[in-house]
Amino acid sequence: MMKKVLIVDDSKTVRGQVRSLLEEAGYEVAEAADGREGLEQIRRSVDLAMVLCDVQMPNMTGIAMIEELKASGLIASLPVIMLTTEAQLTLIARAKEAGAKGWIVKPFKAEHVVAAVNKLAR
Amino acid sequence: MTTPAASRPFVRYAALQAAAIAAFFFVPLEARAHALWQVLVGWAAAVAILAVRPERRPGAAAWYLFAAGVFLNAGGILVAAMSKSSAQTVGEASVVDAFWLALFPAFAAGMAVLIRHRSAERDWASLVDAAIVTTGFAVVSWVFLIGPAATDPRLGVLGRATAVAYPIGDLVILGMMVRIVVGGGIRNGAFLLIVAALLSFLATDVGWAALGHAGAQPGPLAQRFLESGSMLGYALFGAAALHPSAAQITETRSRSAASLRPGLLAGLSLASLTAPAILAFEVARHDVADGGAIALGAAVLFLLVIARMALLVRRVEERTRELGERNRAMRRVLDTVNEGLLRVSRDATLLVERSARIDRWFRPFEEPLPFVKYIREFDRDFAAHFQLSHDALAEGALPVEVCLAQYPSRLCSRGRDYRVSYLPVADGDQNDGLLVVIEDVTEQVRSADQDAHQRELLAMFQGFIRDRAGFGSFLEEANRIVEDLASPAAQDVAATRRLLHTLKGIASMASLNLVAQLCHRAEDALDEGPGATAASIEAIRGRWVGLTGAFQMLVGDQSFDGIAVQAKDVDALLAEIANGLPAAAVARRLASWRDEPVERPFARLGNYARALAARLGKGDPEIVLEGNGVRLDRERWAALWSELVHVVRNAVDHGWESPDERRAAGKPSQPRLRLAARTDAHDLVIEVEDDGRGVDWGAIRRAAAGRGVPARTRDDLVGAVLSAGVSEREEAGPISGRGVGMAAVASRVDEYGGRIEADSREGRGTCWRLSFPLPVLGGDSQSSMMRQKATGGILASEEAGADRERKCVE
Repeated sequence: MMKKVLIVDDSKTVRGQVRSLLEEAGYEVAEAADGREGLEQIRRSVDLAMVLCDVQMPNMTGIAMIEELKASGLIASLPVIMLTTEAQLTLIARAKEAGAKGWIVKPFKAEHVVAAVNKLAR
Repeated sequence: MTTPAASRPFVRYAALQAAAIAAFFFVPLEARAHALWQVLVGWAAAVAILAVRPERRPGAAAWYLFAAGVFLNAGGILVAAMSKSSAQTVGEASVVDAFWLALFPAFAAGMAVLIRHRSAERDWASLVDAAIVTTGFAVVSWVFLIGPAATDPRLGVLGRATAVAYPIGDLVILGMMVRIVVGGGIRNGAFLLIVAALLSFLATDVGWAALGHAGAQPGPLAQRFLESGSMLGYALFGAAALHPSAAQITETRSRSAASLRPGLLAGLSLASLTAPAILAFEVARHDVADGGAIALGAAVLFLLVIARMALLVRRVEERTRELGERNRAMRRVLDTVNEGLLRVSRDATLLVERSARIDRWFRPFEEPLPFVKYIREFDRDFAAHFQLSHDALAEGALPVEVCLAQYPSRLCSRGRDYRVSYLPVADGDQNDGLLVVIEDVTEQVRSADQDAHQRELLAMFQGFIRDRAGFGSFLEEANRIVEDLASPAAQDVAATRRLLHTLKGIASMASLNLVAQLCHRAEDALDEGPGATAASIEAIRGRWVGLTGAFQMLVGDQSFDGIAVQAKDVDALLAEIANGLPAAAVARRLASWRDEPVERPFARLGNYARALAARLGKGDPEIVLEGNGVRLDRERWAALWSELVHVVRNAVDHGWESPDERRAAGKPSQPRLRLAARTDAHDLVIEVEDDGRGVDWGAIRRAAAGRGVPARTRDDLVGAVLSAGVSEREEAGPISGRGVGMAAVASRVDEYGGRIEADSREGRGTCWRLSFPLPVLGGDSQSSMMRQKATGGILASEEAGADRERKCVE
């Protein structure tokens, strides 16, 4: 069965890029446009292999989302990688504290995203 | 299983000889065949050696010598059998001994040839090793074989010499064998077969000697064993020659000549202990008969051991010197290289090996220390970022190459900029930390900054030359916005966002791309909090002050407050005055000249659209300007033109499709923008119309719903577009898409008491219509809106052409 990866980003372009490169690498991809939507999808679906998550988003930021995941205990079983526009140190540190596995700076290299997903997807 | 063709003769020969040696045990001792059997095995081996045509091989002489030795030795058996002399016991010398002893010089010479070929250079250490082993055995041999034979009263001089020759020959062969084994050279099958052959001969000789020493006659089985030992030796030589690897036996293999492998060390220890061991043996028997020989052997062994030690010490000294030289050469490389190179271990320790630049750029250090602590003195942010990245690498959640890409790449220290890259250092398969490569890019950064500054200055100057008045109002408005942004009163995020957006628009219209970029970054920073916002606004202010300061120096204190009138308008007025135009009318006409023909701000917008289209790959647009003689008060309307930038930008960025999409949709590939102004009975109407894809009302509806803005009717939707935060774009690009621009237009139009309508059809384009009621323009402004006779309803936007006709009236 194909593994399913959720990409949470308010940029349609980024979501599209991630979708196409992950689909090419043999993953099924789900999308969410902000933290709140992401959280809903994570709660709803049991078959997620991992999550890629933007930091700055309307409605609910990626940091808030991952902190919510930590509070609800979901983070333990779900690897999350943050996508950041620049290396926003304080935000990354917060995300790491909440249980994010790592971060990738945008603009990213396709092979880096695929390598990270290959390694982390459950 | 099939046998490769090359090894087929070897296999056949080995099988034949093995069968012959096995069958030998069943040949009766007394039969003539007994001797003949041995001779045939030996001669077959000699023939086998010659059959491979050794002349084609390097070191051919060795093979001929081996063949000769085997042939003569085996021939000795035949001679002995024919002369019926008993050669297996110590007796008087005979011609048979000459045959048998011939083996020793032949083999020794053959081995010497091989050894010379196999050594690349003089190998004193192997020679000394061989000498030590041989001397050790020589002491034993002297005590048990040579000594007794040399003093055997039963023998004559020739008999004694012959009896002594056998053990001495064995010692020589042993020495050569040790030398070839411990020396360099290939160790292939043929080599091992030769060693085995030599061992076989030596073992057989020791066996005969032991029997002779005991004065015993061998039993039939022992005799067969000893004889078959010699036959095995012959057969093995033949096998070595036939072995497929025989041609390579002269190849050298590099080997540390001074190295002492455990086996060699044990052999040397054993050999050098033989003299004291025999002495102890004789002392225990209370019969120290060979004191002199033992003392001599011990002395030789001591000297040899000392020689070996001296060779080793010399080698170590050579190596140390070489290493020192290599170290110094490496140091010179590190002292000279332009990059700062340093190594950080896996636990983030800064190691002492580094290039000289590190000490110069940062500070020297003697002991390993935590890298983060060291670099924090120079760039705190870098240090914190590095720590975070290095922790992530250590955690190993992400692949190494992904982790390395997230390390900090910029370092600023003492006003200089550095680019930093990272290479993983591997110790075999083990990750052994990072090599950090630091480059000083201060000059590149500075010159890039200067280039950008010069480009912006040039853009300002071009703007100033092209349209002084327009540029003046741009400067005025931008100054005001920068002041408002920087004033502590501007705490309202929404207001700041609007100011930034407007500044971004007018800056990019004036080709001040760096300022526009800074505005875009500041808009991002608004999301990050007041600290980041203040810093980015300060960056804009600094940039703006620097830019305008430089510009003022360039153009001096020139007034922007000129009036541009076309020569034909002046001529027309003069003609009318000559025809008696009343003074009041002249005054009215002159007053109207203070106002700006609307083509001028239109032309600025058109140029902006063209530049933006080029940047976004939307082709070279057709810009249509329709002024219809409308003139407007410059100061009063300047703010509206600034906001219209958003409308134009939306048209170019969102509206126009790419040339390919346009062709696919059956449209002309060249996009079109129309800017029109006209007055009708009640209103001043300004229209901005594009022929792009039209507004995506569905996207607007979704965006509006997301923000709780009503979105049922078309008017609701237009209202939604004009409200802050609604955009059909789901992401903000650098050009547009934040949902701020149209809201700013709406609030500005509202200030003028006007209204906005949108007429948009999917795939056909969008027309924004701004209407301002004429009375609102004010009593005196009424005069500034005068209808001139049609001076050409549609003007091409070729501004340079229009400029040529204008002149500036101070």
